[in-house]
This record gives sequence, structure tokens and C-alpha cells, in this order.
Amino acid sequence: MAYQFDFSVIVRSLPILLRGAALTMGLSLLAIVLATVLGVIGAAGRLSRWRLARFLAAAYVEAFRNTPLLIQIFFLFFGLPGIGIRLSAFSSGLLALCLYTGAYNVEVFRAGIEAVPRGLREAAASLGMTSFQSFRHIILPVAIRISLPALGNNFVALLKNSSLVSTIGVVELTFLANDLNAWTFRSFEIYGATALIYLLMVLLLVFVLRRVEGRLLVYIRRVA
Amino acid sequence: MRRVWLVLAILAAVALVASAGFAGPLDEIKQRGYLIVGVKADFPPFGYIDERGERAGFDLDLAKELARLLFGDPSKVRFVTVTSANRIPFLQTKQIDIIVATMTVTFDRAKVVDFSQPYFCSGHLILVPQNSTIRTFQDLNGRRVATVQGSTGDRVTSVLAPQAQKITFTQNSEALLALKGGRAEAFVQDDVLLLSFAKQDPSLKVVGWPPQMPAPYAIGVRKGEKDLLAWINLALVRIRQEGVYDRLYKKWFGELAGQLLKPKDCKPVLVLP
Amino acid sequence: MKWDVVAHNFFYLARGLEVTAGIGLTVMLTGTVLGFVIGFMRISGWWILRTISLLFVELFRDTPLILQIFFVFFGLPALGIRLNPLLAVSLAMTFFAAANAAEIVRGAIQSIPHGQVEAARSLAFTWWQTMSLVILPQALRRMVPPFMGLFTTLIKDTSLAAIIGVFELTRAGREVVERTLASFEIWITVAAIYFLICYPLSMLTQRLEQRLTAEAGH
Repeated sequence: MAYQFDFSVIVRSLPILLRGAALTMGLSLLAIVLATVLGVIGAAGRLSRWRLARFLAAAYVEAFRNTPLLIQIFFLFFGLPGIGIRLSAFSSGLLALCLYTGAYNVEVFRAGIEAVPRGLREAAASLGMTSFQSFRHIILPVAIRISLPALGNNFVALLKNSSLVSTIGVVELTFLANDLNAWTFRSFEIYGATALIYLLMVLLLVFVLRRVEGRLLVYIRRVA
Repeated sequence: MRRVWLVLAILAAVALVASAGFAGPLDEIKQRGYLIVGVKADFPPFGYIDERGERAGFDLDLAKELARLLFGDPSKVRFVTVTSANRIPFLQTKQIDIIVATMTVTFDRAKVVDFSQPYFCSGHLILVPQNSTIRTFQDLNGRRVATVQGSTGDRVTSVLAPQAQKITFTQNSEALLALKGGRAEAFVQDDVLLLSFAKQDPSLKVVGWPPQMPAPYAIGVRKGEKDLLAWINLALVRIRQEGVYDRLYKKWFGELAGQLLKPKDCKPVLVLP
Repeated sequence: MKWDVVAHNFFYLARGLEVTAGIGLTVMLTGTVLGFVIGFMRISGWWILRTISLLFVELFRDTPLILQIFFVFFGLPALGIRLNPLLAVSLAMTFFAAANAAEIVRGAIQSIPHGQVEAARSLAFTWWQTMSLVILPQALRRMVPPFMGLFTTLIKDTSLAAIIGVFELTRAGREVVERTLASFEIWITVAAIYFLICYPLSMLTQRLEQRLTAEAGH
């Protein structure tokens, strides 16, 4: 018996799916900001003079890059209650996304910082800045701009990875797509439409990132 | 009595003639030598894993009776664990021959699978901790309610308590853990399941009486498999006639029988938002 | 702490691990083969091939893998293509891997200085000779670290198969947690198992990357 396509179900489901998309974007943007901060802190740790800081940062990076994000999500949501820590689904998902993407960001920033031209560091030192000052005012801004393309890739990955928080019940786009599928069984139409919505969100994010890169990269050409 | 056997014989003859022309799914199953059945593994007392780590449940015993009628041997059956979310795709992609997994008959589901005659009637209730103040479905508004994605309990909650804060899980065990751990204040699901959980755990109780929005369970087969469906309906009739159904009912629901719905309370209706 | 639960169920988890490894290796193989095809299409002279491959790559790199899996498993039956969960996951992950592999191939080939192609052209090399004698030997070496990174990613992504019911390491973990309620201990153990597989791969990848940049003299 042939499947009868019913594309009108997409029109009826669109409001629901778009609400999910809004949550996906909100969750992703929040996680992007937090993961970036985490990445800077971690990179500083990786390049620190103190061996303990270097070790902890490296351990963090390796632990979270070599385990699946899904497992991290399950551990935070299902595993932590075992030792008395109960996080909501949204918090668990947000935290997992931050820690996972943060680990990748650390490596991106580390490479970016190391790519800052020696000349700049020496110039900062010759001006009498302490290493913290030169880090904050000279090296970091340049490093961020150098890292932007790779950072942007991590952000796009985060947006896609946010779909996994649907497994612990966060009512975002993928969750709603599954819900709609469970009741209408119009899998082809619904998952197809959902894929297109993700595609549009990713293209939008890439567009914004390119514009930001364009604006900020101007400074690199002047400085480096 | 003889008239009934005559009717059955005619129906059987018709079924035989109908299936003689081509190798339908029933023939495939007979050739294979065993029936593959999708069942639940987290839904006592219909389909669950007992303390010895083995499968057990009313649905499984029912499936074994089907195998007995088909092959003469109740052990000629293989069980595959399914969830509310994947039982229909598993059926459609031929992972299983039939679904005997607490599947409620709804109009939407009837568009994609063919249902047998009902074999059970179930309404929805609420599972809460002993000290909870929740009494009715209206009390759920504004509270955190655990539901299972794709289950009728999920939809019933949306309909009867639209202001409830639903926390949706993929499995009954996760929802139960959430309730016991305090993540949710209530758990809405089928009456038999919740009564069975409450029986095993004295710290929980069942409220929300009488069972809301009752609907029947039925066996699911792929759309268009007429010979298989006809055979299953015949088999169900025989199982009732031979008293096997009553025996299984008493075995699995004996203690709860007084609280459960009667089959006549069930119509294949479920309102979807 | 119920660590004895971990010991009792270790073999069950190991059975899941077998499936995980199986899926990872299979998909790596099929994804790489398809990825090379798509990668060459991306740099082809024909506009139509370039466009088709670009659409393929964008589609499978700009959408979440879990959604691709859902589409293949739940949605394809609408077109008459019915796959069991394992095949559905393998197919979806093959396309996903191929899209990423294609970009690795394209990137590596395009990173070879164009001067070499021009030199070969001036020596009357055919396209195939240029490819096989000049470009590919260098490009293939550059592809190794990213491909190893892709393999590590694929091993981790096999965990998504659990969501549609495939029995592999993550699903095995979930079942054990349900039976024993030792969620903290089991999830730490499952994470550790993935780590023990992926960490050596990551280290090897980093080592190879360093050797490659050292050799290239950058």
C-alpha cells in the first residue's frame, strides 16, 4: 500500500516547530557565550606557568573531547542524581553543551594565542606591561580574531548538537518533531521540514559569523 | 454451541481460501516456524522483566497462546522489546510481525496500522507520593507531571490539565525514577501500570479516580495484511471461548480486578489536541 | 557506591562495545569511499557535478546527525525504503561521514600549491597522471590526521544509534541502569570506555599532525 504524502501537515505543524526552533536558538546562543568564556579560561590554563593548571586544563579538554556528548548529557541528567545533584533537563543540556564545546574552544584559542606574532608580545613587554595586562589587552583580542573561523565551526557544531538535548525532554525543535511524528506518523514530511529548519538556522548563523569576521578581521590587518 | 463451531468453520474456510492464492504474511510466518512479537519491557504487568531477569507479562502470555494456536507450541515465539515510540516503525520495517505492547486504539494510529479486536480496556490515572495533595486531574495544573513521549497518558494530561508542567521521558522507568526522586510531582499513565507500580512500592499511591478517557488495547498488524488480521481475530475468539483469556486475566490482574474497567467501558475514541 | 554492579555487568557492556566498534569501522569504510567520490565531484570541471556534490555536502553537514538518522529510519519508508534500525543508522552515518570526508579530500587536494599542477601541465601530463603522480601522494598524507579525527568522531556518534533502539554501548548502559538503578556508576563507566578508545586515537592524530607540519617545514 503506497504512502500518501500529506504536505499540509507541515503547514499545520509549523507554529509548533518554529517555537521549538526559537528554544533551540536561545539555548544555543546561551551555550555559545558560556562555552566561549570557558574556552578562554581553559586556554589560559593550558598555557599557564603552573603545572597544576596545565594538567587540569588538559584533563578537562581530553575528557570532554573523547567522550560522546550524548553520554555527557545522560551523565549530568541521569547520573548525578545518584550522588545527590539534581539538575533540570534544561540545565543539564546547557551544561553538557557548554562543557563539550568549551573543550573544543580551548584548543582553538590555544592555537590562536600561539599564532599571535612574536613581535606583538615583545612590543607589549617593551612597553612595560605585566604579562596579565599584555594578555588581556594585546594578545587576547588578536588571538580571538585569528581564532574566529575555527570558533565559528564550533558554534555551528553546537547548534547541531543541541538536538541531542531532546533525549532528556527539553522541548526544543527535535523533541517537538519527534512528538509530532509520534502522533501524526507523517515522518517524511515532518523530519524533512525539521531538517530544512535546521539548515536555515545554520546558514543564518554562518552568515552572521562571516559578517562578524569581516568586521573584526580589519583590525588584524592593521595590527599584524 | 454447534452453531458457533459452524460459523467458525466457515470463517476458517474463507480464510483458507483467501490466503490460498498468494503467500501472505501468515504463510511467511508459518514457513518461518515462529512468530515475532513486539512487546514492552517496562510496563508491568503486560510486558516487563522479572526479578530473575526474564521476560514476563500478560501480553507475552497472550502472544504465546497465539503461537500455540498457530504452531501447536506456545514456545514458537520470539519477543522483541519495543517502546511506545518505535513499536509502529518496527512493525512497518518488518522487525516484528505483530505488536502486542499495550497499544491503545486511536484514530490516528488506525490510519497506519490495522488493529485486532480489543483485548483489554484501560483508563488513565495519576501516580503520586503518599503525602501528595493531588486528588484529581484538575489538581495537576501548575504542577510538574511526568509523562512518556508518545503515550496516551501524555495526551490525556495535555487535554485534562493544560496548565500542567509536563516533563516528558522516553521510558516508563525514567518517569517513575523522576517521580520517586522528586523531579516530578505526579506521573500520568495507564491505570493498570500505575496500580502495579503502587503495589510494588508502598511510598506511592494512585489517585485521579475514576480512570479517565478509557480506551482499548488491541494487537497491531501491518496495514493491508488481511489474512493475518483475520487469523488473529479468530484466535482471540478461540482464546476467550476456551477460557484461556479468563485464566490469564485472573493470573495477571486478579488482585486489581475490582479496580479495573470492564471491556464495555471502552470505545475506540481518544481526543487529540 | 554500587561498583560491584559495574563488575557484574561488564560483559553486557562489552557486547554493546562490539556493536559500537562494528558500526564505526563499517561506516568509516563506506563513508570514506563515498567521500572520495563526492570530493572529486566537488573539484570537477563539470558544473553539474560540482553543484550536486555541494548540495550533498551542505545537506549532511548543516543538519544534525540525529535528525538524519530519524529521517532515514522513520521517513524513508514513505518512499518504500524500509531499513532495520542498524541499517538505517549505518546508512545515515555513511552519508554524514561521506560529506565530511569529501571536505577533507577537497581541502587536502586544494592545499597542494597550484604551481605544481602548472608545472605538470607544462610537461604534458594528463589529468590522471597529474593526480596520481603529483597531487595525490602529497594530498593523501595530509588527509590522514583529519580522517583519523573523523573516525574518532564517528565512534562517538555511534552512541546516537541507541536513540532508535540499536543495541550498542550506550543502549547497553541504559538497560543496565534501568535494571540496577546504579546510574552514576554505570554512566561513568560507559564514558570511561569511550574515552579509552578515543583518547589513544586522538593522541595518535595529534602526533601525526605534528609530524606532518614538521615535514612540510612550515
